[in-house]
Amino acid sequence: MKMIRPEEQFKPSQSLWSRAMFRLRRDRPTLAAMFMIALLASLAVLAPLIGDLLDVDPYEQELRNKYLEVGAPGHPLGTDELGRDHLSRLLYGGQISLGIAFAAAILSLCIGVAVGAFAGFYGGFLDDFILWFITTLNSIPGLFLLIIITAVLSPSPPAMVLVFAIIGWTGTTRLVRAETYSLKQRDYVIAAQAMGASDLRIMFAHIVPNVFSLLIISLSQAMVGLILAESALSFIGFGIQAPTPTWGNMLNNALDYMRRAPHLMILPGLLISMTVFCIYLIGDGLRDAFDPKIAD
Amino acid sequence: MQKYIIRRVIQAIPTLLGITLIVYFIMLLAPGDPVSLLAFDPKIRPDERERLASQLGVNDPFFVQYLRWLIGDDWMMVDTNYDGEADAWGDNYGILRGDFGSSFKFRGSNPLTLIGERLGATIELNIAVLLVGLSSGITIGVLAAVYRGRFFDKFTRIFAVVGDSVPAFWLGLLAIVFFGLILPRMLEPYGIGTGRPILPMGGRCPPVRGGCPPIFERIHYLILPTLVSALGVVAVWSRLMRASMLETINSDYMRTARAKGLSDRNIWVKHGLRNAILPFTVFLGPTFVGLIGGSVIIERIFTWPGVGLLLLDGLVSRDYPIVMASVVIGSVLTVIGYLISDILYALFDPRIRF
Repeated sequence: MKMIRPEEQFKPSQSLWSRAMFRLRRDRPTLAAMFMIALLASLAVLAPLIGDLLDVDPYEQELRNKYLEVGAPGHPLGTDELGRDHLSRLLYGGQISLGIAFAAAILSLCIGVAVGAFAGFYGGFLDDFILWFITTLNSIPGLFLLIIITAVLSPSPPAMVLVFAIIGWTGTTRLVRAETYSLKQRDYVIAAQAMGASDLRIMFAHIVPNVFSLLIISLSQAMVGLILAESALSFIGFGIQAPTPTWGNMLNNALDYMRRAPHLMILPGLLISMTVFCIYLIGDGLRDAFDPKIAD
Repeated sequence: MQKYIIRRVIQAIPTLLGITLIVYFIMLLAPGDPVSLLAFDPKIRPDERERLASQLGVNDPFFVQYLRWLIGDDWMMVDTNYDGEADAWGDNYGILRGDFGSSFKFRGSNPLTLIGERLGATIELNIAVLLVGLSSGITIGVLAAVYRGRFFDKFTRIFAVVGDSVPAFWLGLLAIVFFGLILPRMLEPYGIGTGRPILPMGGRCPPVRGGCPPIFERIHYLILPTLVSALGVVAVWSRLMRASMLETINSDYMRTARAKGLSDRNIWVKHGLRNAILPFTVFLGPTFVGLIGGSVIIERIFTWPGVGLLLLDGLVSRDYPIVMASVVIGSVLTVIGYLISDILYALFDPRIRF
C-alpha cells in the first residue's frame, strides 16, 4: 500500500487549462510552430514598416528591373514581371491570406457555436432543419461552391471573410451540437434550470465554456482549411483579384513566368506550405495538451 | 439491410433538392441578367426588353422561377407572343428530367451532353488517384504499424504531415517545372532524352482527331496528375491505416484468436484486416468527395479536360447553364459517394444491426 504524504494530499488539483498550459510549455515542436506563425504574422502586420525601411512598395512598378533574382540589390527577394518588389508583395499577401483565414475562422466558429448550441439544446424540428441544411451544404463540393460564389459576387477581402464564414461553419456546428446534446442532461445544467436560469444563460454560460477546449482545436483545423481554400481559389483566378497580392494569386501569376523567374513560383508556395504545416503542428499539440486521456 | 439501403436513398432526396435550391439561389445573384445576355444588342428598345423579360420569366417570384427550372413548364401554359396572356404549352422540361437549358457558348447544346463528354475524363483520373493513393496509403500505414517507432514509422509520419501541408496546386507546379525543365536539362548531357519534357505536361492525350485513343496508349498522360493528386490521399490514409492497424493488433479479440490457436491466415483476414479496414469504408466517401472538389485544381494545372475545367470555362464565359449543370452533377456524385460509403460501412461492420 502506498503511503500518502501530507503535502501530496493537499496538492492543488489541476484544471484542464492549467494542465494543458503545463504540457504545451514542454512541447517543443508545437512551441516552435507557434513561434513561426507568430513571426510570420508579425512580419505581415509590419509589412508597411518593412517596406519603408527597405524603400520598396508592393504596387510600384520598375519596368527596368523586371524578373530580378533573389538577392538583387534593393530587392532582397527579387522582383516580378512588372518589376514590383517580391518581398513586400509576399508580406502584403501574407496580410491578406493570414488575415482572411484568421478572421473567417473566428467568424465561422462564432456562427458554428451559436447554431450548434441552439440545435443541440432545443432539438426537434429546428435540429432536423439545421442538420438537413448542413448535409446539403456539405454535399456540394467545397471548391465548386466557393468558385461559383466568388465568381458571382467577386468579393473584396472583407466580403471574402463573410463568404468563407458562411460556408465554413458546419464542422463546428456538428461538434458543438453533439456536445450540447450530451451536456444538457448533466446535473449542473439541471441544477441551473432549477434555479431559474434562462435557456440562453444555460447555453452560453454553462454549456459552451465546457466545449471551449474543443473549439480551440477546431479553430486551428479551420485555419488550415481556410488558408488552403483561399490560396486555391486565388490560384485558379477567382477570389481576391490583382493587383492586391495574396499568396494564391501570386502563384497564379507566376504560372506564366515559370521559365524566366522560378523564384516567383517557389516562394509563395513555400510560405503557404510552411504556414499550413505549422498550424497543423499547433493543432496536434493542442489536441494532445487538452486530451484528458493522455497521462503526464 | 435492404431496408437500410432504401432508407438511406430516400434520405438523399431532400439533400438533392436542397442542393438545387442553393445552386439556383446563388446563380440568381449573378451579374448580367439573362435578358441582356440573350439580346446582345445594346440598342434594344425598353418594350422589347420587357417582352423578352416576361417571356423568360425573370420577373416572376423566386420560387416560381426555381420550380420552373426544377420541373419545367411543359405542363402549363406560357406566354409566347408576349401579349400578357398564356397561350401555349411550355417547352422546358426542367432539370429533374435532364433539361438544364442550352449552353450559351456552345450554341444550343445540352449541358448534360457536354458534361457527359467530360465526366469520363474526371472519373478516369480520380479512379487512377484512388487506386494509387489507397494502395500505397494502406500499404504504408500497415507497414508503419508493424514497424512502430522505427525509422520507417517516423519517416512516414513526417511525410504524411508534409504531404498534407503542401497544396496540390503548388506541388503540381513544382512537378511541371521539375519534369518539364530541370530533369530534361540534367539528363541531356548524358544523352538521355533530347531536352524535351520527359512526361506530358498536360492534357489527356496527344491532340488528335476523333477523340482519345484507348487508355493504355496514353497512360503516360495520367502519371503526373495522378501522382500530384494522390499525395494528399496517401498522407491521410497512411495515418488512418496506421492508427486502425495498431488498435486492431492490440485488441483483446486478436489475442483471443491467437490463443485459440487459429491459423495465421484466419487471424489476420477474419479478425485483423476486417476490423482494420473499417476506416476504408468510413473515409472512402470523404476521400472521393475531396477528389471531386479538388478536380478543379488538378484539371486546371494539367489542362485535364474534365468537369472541373468545364466549370471554370463556363464561369469565365458566363455560360450559366453549364455552370449550374456542372455544380449539380458534382453534388449528385458527392451524394452518391457518401451513400456508397455508408452502405459499405454497414456491410463491413457486423456491429451495425438493422
